[in-house]
Amino acid sequence: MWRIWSVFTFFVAIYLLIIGRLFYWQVVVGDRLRLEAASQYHLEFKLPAARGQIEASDGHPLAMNQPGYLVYAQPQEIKNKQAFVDRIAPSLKMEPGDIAEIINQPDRVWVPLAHKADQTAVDDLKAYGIAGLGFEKEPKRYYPEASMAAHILGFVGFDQNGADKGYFGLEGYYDRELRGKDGMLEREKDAKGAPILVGDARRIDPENGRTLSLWTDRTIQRLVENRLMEGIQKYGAKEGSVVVMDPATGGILALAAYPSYDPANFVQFDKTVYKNPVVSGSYEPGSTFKALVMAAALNEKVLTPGTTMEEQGPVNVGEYTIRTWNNQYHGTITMTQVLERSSNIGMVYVGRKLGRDKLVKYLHDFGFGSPTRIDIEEESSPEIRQRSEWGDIDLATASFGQGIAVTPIQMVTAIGSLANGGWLMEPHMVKEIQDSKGQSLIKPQKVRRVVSSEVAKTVTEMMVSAVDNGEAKWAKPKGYRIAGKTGTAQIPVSGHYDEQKTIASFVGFAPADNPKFVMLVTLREPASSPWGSETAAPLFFTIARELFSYWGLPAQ
Amino acid sequence: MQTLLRFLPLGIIALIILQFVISNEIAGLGEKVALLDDQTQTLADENTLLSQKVASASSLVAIASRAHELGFVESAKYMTVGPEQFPVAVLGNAR
Repeated sequence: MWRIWSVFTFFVAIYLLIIGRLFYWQVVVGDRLRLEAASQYHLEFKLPAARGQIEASDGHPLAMNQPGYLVYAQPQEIKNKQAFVDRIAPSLKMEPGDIAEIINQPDRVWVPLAHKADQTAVDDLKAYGIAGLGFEKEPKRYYPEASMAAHILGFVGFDQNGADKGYFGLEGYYDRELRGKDGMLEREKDAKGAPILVGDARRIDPENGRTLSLWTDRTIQRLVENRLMEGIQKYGAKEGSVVVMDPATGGILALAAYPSYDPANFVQFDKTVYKNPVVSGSYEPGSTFKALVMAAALNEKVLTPGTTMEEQGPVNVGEYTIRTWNNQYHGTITMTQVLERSSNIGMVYVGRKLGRDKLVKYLHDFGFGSPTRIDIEEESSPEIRQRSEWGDIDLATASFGQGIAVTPIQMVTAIGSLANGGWLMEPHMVKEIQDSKGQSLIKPQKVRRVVSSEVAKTVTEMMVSAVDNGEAKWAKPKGYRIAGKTGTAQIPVSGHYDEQKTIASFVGFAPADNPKFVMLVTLREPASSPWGSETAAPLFFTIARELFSYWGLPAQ
Repeated sequence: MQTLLRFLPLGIIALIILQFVISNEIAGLGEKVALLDDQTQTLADENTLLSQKVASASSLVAIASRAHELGFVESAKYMTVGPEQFPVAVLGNAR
């Protein structure tokens, strides 16, 4: 009997052993074994989505992709580390010491050496057939027009996980649209790594990034950048910007700022230049603002272009004394002459006629105090003080553009409303977004009517007169009707205005009867002359002259 | 109906054999497909590279540089001719 029990016990023990072993394989280490098995017969890889292009209005790419590679090392497979370093350092343009430090890190089986290496460098390295050196595709951005339109485009860097991410400009604003969605391929493979076509397969196609078609005309962009650089050098300015907009649509035809950077080598530049000053930099607009305050007063019918006022001498507002820019006074002058002579005294009169409440209302209506919603990442908007905080001196200084901060894009959009029959337009960089399913047009957006079309026409005539009879008339191209206004604003430093430092500007549009463009030129701290009429205005007219030629607009 | 039922097993067996033959044929094509995938990728890369070269060659930077080499200079002064100053063309009598 005991023998039967012994055999029975033996079989039970064997049975338990088998059960136990099976439990171990299927439950305890089941996941690991399943993964190991899958790695032997499963092929799984990412199908990367190509980043979308950014194209100028003529379809020419301003930012596109080019082949690039992640170069990596597998230190345990390197036979002679010194020879390895000496061979690859020149091609990767890296210091040999840096490479040696990377590959000598203990217990590392895979280390990245260089991101987004050029095709030529990789071709060189591949020719050597170096053991322990590998390559993985990592496309990078290419800018056919080099550093042109850097502040419009922004650049592509890495996010926290090492994936491409757009920063600043359009790359930042439209990052989600541009980056697309990666796909995935999963299928069985044979011993040689070739796919088994009858096996299981799962494929999710990548969705490539969308292509952005801009309003920006690359010819105008290049012209504007070249002339701005020449202007900066000629007038000895520290900074400068030019923005050209189509007043009817709000499309930005060109936008340039100095100092700038090269988006392909953005790391070599100071981070302070990444931000686009046209949308994020604030300044006091000075006399260019007078056209807007005048438009508001005309729209409220508190005066007409022929209304006269007495410009007899300085005006006292509380404890402050307000003078004309040249301390000259002309007696009885009309409102048109107030703009022609850029009279601060005249504008104090206009401001008082308009009143505090109406002025604040029109400031908001012209778009100041809130972002324009332009499609560039880093837009900001200086705040406008609350209505209750406006004192008499604030009303007086704001009427001639001091004591109030705006961004260049706000200013050009506001003046654009006068060129567009009184309608304020939302400024836009992108005209059309294309993807594999088709194109979607971004329609021009009217924000609101600010002034009537009659008032817009009247102010246009006053601005034409300000150009023809103002301080900058010497620089104006002959035979063209240009509506514009000069501006010279002192720069506030530590609570007071610096007498020597100014921001010279000129804003205007042309041809005045059927405007093709509205443009703002700003120059910060010009050394040759502090006045807008002697620096920003001639630069404006130089660019305008070339725009007339480019568009084939003859002089009359 | 009975004839059909009689031939049904034969049909099933024939289809199974056919599946074996086709699977066998396809299974060996994996290497070829991998090769074609590689070629597709190589051509796509080449296409990207060529697009880049076309964009580079037709860029304003390249055109301006080439124009400069060929002796073109920017005109400092120019005049425009309005319609009223060009009656022959306006009237369509130009030959």
